[in-house]
Amino acid sequence: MGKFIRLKQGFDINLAGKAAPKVSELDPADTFVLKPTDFHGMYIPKLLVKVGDNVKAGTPIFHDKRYDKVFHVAPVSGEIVEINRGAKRKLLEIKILADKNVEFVNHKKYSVSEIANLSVNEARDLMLKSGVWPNLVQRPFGIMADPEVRPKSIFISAFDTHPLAPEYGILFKGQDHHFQVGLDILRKFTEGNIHINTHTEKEIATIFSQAKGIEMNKFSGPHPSGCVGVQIHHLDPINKGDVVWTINPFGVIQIGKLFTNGVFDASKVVAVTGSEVNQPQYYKTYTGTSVKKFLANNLKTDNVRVISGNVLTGTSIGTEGHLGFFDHQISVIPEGDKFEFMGWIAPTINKLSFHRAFGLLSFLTPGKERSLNSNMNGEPRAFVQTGIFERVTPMDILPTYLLKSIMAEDIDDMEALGIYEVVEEDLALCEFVDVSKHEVQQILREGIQLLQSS
Amino acid sequence: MKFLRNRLDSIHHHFEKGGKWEKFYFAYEAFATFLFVPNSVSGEKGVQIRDAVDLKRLMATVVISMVPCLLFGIWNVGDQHFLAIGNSAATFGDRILIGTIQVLPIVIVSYSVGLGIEFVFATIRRHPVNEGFLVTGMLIPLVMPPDIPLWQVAMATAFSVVIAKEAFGGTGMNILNVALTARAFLYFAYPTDISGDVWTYVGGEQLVEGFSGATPLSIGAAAVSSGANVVESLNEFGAGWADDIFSFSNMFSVSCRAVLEKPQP
Repeated sequence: MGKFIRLKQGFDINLAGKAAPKVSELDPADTFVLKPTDFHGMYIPKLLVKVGDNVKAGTPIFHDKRYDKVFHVAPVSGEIVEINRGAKRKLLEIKILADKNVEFVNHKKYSVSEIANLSVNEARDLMLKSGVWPNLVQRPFGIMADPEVRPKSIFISAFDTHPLAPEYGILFKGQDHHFQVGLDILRKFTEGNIHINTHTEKEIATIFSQAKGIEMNKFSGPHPSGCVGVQIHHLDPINKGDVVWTINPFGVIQIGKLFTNGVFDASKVVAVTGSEVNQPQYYKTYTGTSVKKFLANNLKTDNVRVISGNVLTGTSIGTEGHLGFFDHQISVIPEGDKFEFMGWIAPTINKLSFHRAFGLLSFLTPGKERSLNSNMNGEPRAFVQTGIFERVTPMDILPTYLLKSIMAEDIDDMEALGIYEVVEEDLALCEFVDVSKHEVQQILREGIQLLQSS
Repeated sequence: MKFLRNRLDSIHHHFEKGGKWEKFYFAYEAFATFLFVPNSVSGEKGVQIRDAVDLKRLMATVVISMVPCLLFGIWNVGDQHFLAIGNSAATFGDRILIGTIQVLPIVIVSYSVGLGIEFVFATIRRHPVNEGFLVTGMLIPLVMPPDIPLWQVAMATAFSVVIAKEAFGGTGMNILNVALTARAFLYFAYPTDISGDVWTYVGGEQLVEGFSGATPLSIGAAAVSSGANVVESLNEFGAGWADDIFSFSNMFSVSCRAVLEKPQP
């Protein structure tokens, strides 16, 4: 039987522009990209293609130098048109000009009975070469799973509590069979449980409620209860030396499709959300799509910030940008590059705040859908002990001290303060509420990198 | 507002790297951000929206919360003054006036000395001016006696800001409380000005022949030695219970009552 865990700390950010429950299909985008920077802990990406090559959906594009068997593959078929590099020739993105019809690299198909008897090694080999493996994220560190390590258990969060998050019931509608096959494959990799975590007040999609051979846990409480790191912390905490895997339901479905259909299927549903979108709704597309077509004639103003992912953990990509590998959501918010006269003391009801300070009146209208912009609302300052981080982190860790120990590069303290249990998204709310405007997520990732390289 | 913004924009380039007042960038920034919240936006990765709070608002909130305390202090300085010289005819306005004349210079000195040092250090060390001193600058007057010489306030503030804060690396790195360091400095450097009968401002007036205030404890002790009823003597003094045991005054203001209803000298 699963557990029921009630979380109290946290904060739900209620933004305007929630996607309407309608899935549309547009002409597929022209370009798709694969960004090695989406994968944390990537050592050196080694390119396997060059400009002008024709690829199919599932053709390997690059691999990490450290894991030469784990391929990152093309989401669609087409021609490689651009390879962008940054400073020190760092590989930033590989752009594919898509064909009209997607051609797939074909792998072996398995029937249900064959899947039941499949050995771990055979399953692993297919997952590595087909390109579904990078869906598996390993904790600690939130990096791509190491194929040689057997995890203690596997965690799947069946709900998303981020601002404007898409409903999983719509994203994964009708994928019940593939999801179950994916679970059956994943169960071969661990002696422990596969945990699926649901929320008490949200509707549980059928793909989760019908799933077999798993442990179903229930959570309640505000964001970040949907962050899988928080769930692991309460179900089966990670100690030094432990390894667990996390995977988005989309990854499980992709694994299922690989084994039943024999192809790397990168088609997904994304939510186009945010206060600056005329018609926020869902669209069918593929991983790494250009966002241009979703936003054409669909924006209220010009001065907007387009985010791949949600407003707490996403990346600003611009109106011509491309969706990240793990993202199911595009958020469009107003850009906040405006001065505000005496804005540090003027009373406001429109700006959202978790704090109770002079003039911050947003607590009077908690249910109101707000349109927030990207302004910093202040300047960076030194840490001030406010105790506010602990009130948005439903975990038994002390974020303030953890962040300080990371800045001091004190590895012993980092370990003692629980850096193994967190990745960026778990502490994203700390960055939101921070009085001193620190880049909490970036600091945390630097600490994790320091720990990995030590 | 538009005018102010244009003025700031027109002088901004002088303070940037290569400008003629480049050194004073952070002093300029402190004023500019006081007038306008800057137009900086969140980074490319990570949180894209930010809470409406910032350190300025947080510190301003603390300062605003301390204002009632300061106002009571001002009234109390005047009240104690007129009690000590035996002038019970003084009006509320007189009390506030005397208190203001005594307290306000301390506040001004503490703020100007402390903020001056903050600006100097921010300019030398090239870091933004932190708002933490707004609170410290108010706390220092609140822990000082009313007739402390102003040069001592200035010295104590300077000492505590430099030694207790900036010597450790500035806001966020100090291990001592800045306001209490100022108090401790005076306690050891000029003990005669901060202990003894300094808490009542006399101001050169003739004191009353004698005044004393017994505590309820000593009344109790006296009652026992003289064989009187302790409870009755306390009630007479005004430190007993009010009629209704759960009344407001019993629950919240018994000690206040004991002080306020104390027989006047």
